[in-house]
Amino acid sequence: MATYLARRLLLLVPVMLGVTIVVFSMMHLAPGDPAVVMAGPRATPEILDEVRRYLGLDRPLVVQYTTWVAHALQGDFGRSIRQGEQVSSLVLARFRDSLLLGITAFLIASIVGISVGVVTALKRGSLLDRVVMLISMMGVSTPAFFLGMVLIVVFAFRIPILPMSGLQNIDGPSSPLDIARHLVLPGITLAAPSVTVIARVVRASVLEIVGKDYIRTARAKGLREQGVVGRHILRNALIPAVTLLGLQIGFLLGGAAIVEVVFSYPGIGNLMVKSIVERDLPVTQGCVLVIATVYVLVNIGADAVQAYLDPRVRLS
Amino acid sequence: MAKDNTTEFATDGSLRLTRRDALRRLAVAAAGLSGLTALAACGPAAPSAPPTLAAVPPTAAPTVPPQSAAPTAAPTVAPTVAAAPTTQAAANAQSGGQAAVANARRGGTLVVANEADMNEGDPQKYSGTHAGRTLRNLFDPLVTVYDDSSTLRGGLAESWDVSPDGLTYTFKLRDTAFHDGTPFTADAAAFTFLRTLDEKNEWYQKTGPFPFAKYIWPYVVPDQIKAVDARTLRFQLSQPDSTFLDNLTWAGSGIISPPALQKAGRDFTLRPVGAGPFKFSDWQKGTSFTIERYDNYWGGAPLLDKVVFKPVEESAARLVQLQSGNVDLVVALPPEFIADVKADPNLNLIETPGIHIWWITFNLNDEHLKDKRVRQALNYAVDKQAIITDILAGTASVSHSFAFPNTEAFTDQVTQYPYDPQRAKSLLAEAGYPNGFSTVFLVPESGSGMIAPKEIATVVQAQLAQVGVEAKIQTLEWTSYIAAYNGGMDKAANGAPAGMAQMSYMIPQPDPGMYAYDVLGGKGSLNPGGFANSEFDALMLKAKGTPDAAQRMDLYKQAQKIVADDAPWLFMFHAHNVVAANKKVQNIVLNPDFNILHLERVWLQP
Repeated sequence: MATYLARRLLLLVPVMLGVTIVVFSMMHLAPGDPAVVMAGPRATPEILDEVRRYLGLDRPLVVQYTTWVAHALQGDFGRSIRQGEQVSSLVLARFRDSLLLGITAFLIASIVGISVGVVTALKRGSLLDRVVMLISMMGVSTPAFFLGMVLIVVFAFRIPILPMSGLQNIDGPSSPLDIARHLVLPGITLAAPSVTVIARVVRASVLEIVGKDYIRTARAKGLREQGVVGRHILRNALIPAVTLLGLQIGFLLGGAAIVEVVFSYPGIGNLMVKSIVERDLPVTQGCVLVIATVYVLVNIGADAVQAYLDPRVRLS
Repeated sequence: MAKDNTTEFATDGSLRLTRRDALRRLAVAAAGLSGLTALAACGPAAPSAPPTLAAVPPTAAPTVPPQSAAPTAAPTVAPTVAAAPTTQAAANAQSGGQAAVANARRGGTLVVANEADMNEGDPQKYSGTHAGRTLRNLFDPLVTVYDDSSTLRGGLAESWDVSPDGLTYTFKLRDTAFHDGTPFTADAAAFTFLRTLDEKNEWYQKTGPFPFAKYIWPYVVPDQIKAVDARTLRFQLSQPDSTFLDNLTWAGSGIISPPALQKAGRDFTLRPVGAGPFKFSDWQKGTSFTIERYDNYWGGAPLLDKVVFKPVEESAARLVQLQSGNVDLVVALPPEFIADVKADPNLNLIETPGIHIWWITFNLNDEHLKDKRVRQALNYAVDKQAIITDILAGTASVSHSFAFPNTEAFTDQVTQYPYDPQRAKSLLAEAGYPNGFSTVFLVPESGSGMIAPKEIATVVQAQLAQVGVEAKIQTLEWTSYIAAYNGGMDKAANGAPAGMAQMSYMIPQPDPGMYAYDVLGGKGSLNPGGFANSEFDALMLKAKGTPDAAQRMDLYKQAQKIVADDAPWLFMFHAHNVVAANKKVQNIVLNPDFNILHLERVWLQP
């Protein structure tokens, strides 16, 4: 088990290198010169040259990249071109807020998703099943920006019971309750597609197990329904859901850019979108690195859990 | 200065995801519903409800004492050549403002929705109109503009004097202090300029590049920025530059506290210290940028306790937040939301013609467009007023030449091109193109100052088709667009020539001299259409060396006539500076400059 995890962790290094090379190349291949973005459409060529020199953009790409890696290995991720702040502090502060949103969404997605999956499977074919699965179909096919805006209009504007945007009250003291209230709408928006995916997988898996012989046996020997569902169905049906939940964590922590923009949420996704538009390469690199690390670590974690649950994974 | 364009792009870009239209419709629908219910709800009470500013009854709350110190000090413009003729008008405007403030209340927090989060607290790194609007409240420049006027007035300099040769500018400074208590002296004022211009200064570019300094103060000799005494600062220019004073009103000219910078170094941008009406309080990145009242402001303490600038990137969300009362004031409202604001009984729409211009550059090397009659024909063929009414919800005015409405340089006594397709057709026939021609029309996807580029391009295309001209639209993402456009229109369309291209400017100074020569001058640095008119060049170069404002404005007016007649552009419109605010927000006076949102006289009705 330990060697298995160590092997997986070592893989993190090439993954990080690959990710940063891809981001670096994409930012340089994409149209739009950071110097032009910074100096504006009216800058003369001399001014642009000066800005490029200052930003180090006049050096060969390989030199730029290797310098960046050398510094990054020493923990120096540079400073934001546009904001002048250390990338590490800028990105980590935003990541903390994204983490909060991601955990909220993950809790919503797993609790609601598993409950819906189990209930619809047990009531298979009923009106309840059909209605809930229809709603969950809508959940997966509604884009986050639309769902987010609908929620804002309904629950923050028409029936103003929840805050519209941000993470805290901006003109007063902020309490945990206040932050929790701010997390509700973006949390639901972010969780919606995951709820659906989880519900469908759990439903299918429960349905498969419900038909197994040992369930019939359990019922036949007179176990109460709670016992059958809890001990025999759920415990077995949730194993495939674990890997899926792991993948969803990655998505919820890193894929929140659109939700964050819609809710003006001060998270890493919002920062990344802004940095890409402004061609603020150091910040984009920082954001992508953090998100990629989270993805990889979460996947390793999910694999570890699965290996623990299923010995076959360890052996192979 | 150019950067309004850039950052607005930045901010806009982040919004312009594909979901925009869906959101917009949704928000509009919601707004419509809310408007209806609100109307129904407060119908009977309405007549008595909104007391006008003048009718506000005296209340027990502490009212502001007559603003003797502040406003009388503000307009003290010294008897200089440039400022003299306008001093009287300025004083009048100020006394008007004073009357309105007499009933004002102190206190409260104003929440402003900005279209993006701030990038910098350092004014010399200013990067866009939303930054300007915010930072101008923290940092006073030496020279400024007040209220809705473009007339130059004293900021941290109470007066100034220009030598007859236009090379020496001497400023008499106010006796005041920075927010950190540092006395404001000539040396302190000089520091702001030295750190951006003087390569020998120990703080030169130490906190990042200032790409705009050399552009906006091209002729300032760094060695000759001299503190004559504690209250007198002198600049020496290498050649006359009549826009020098105007350029000092720019947000990037805000004077910073030298000890604060020396102490904080690169982190100054996170804890900015100036001498403006408000001082920095708190910055939660991505959430809020908060400033608070500076009690020792030379112009008298502001009325508000605090102002919170909150980034709300999505324009539909800005409207909903305003309607729900989450924010009090919204800037950069897209035209499609204007009707909703007007229909909402709780909201005010405030607008003023702004320092903005939106035009279509003609490629003068194009075989068709090099003929003046063709360019005039295209100007007649487009119904600009209809575009303003239908696409811009009326928040713009028709443009006739290069100067900005609501500024002293502006004249409409020039050749105008009312919508007249018949005339367009006959001019085209006269030029030898009775059946028209076809040309490439470059259009950016978005971009700051580029309001509704694609919508307007489509209308222009349809109207040109009516007179037989086929404009083939090619769209480009904004940064690529700038590169292609600035590279010259002869190879702007993927290496091939383009005949027409959109452009817009929002500049941070009312004097059009500098920008107009750049974009239209024979040797202009940003003249991709290749317009060259020696008469125009001569007038503009003469204006540059004319410190006397009245004489200079006259030269600009003559130059506008030449440009209007020669039609190097398809003249389109000037957008208005527009904000929407909750009705409790009182005494908002917009300046034509989009970079300025003076908040020191604004107050909140409880």
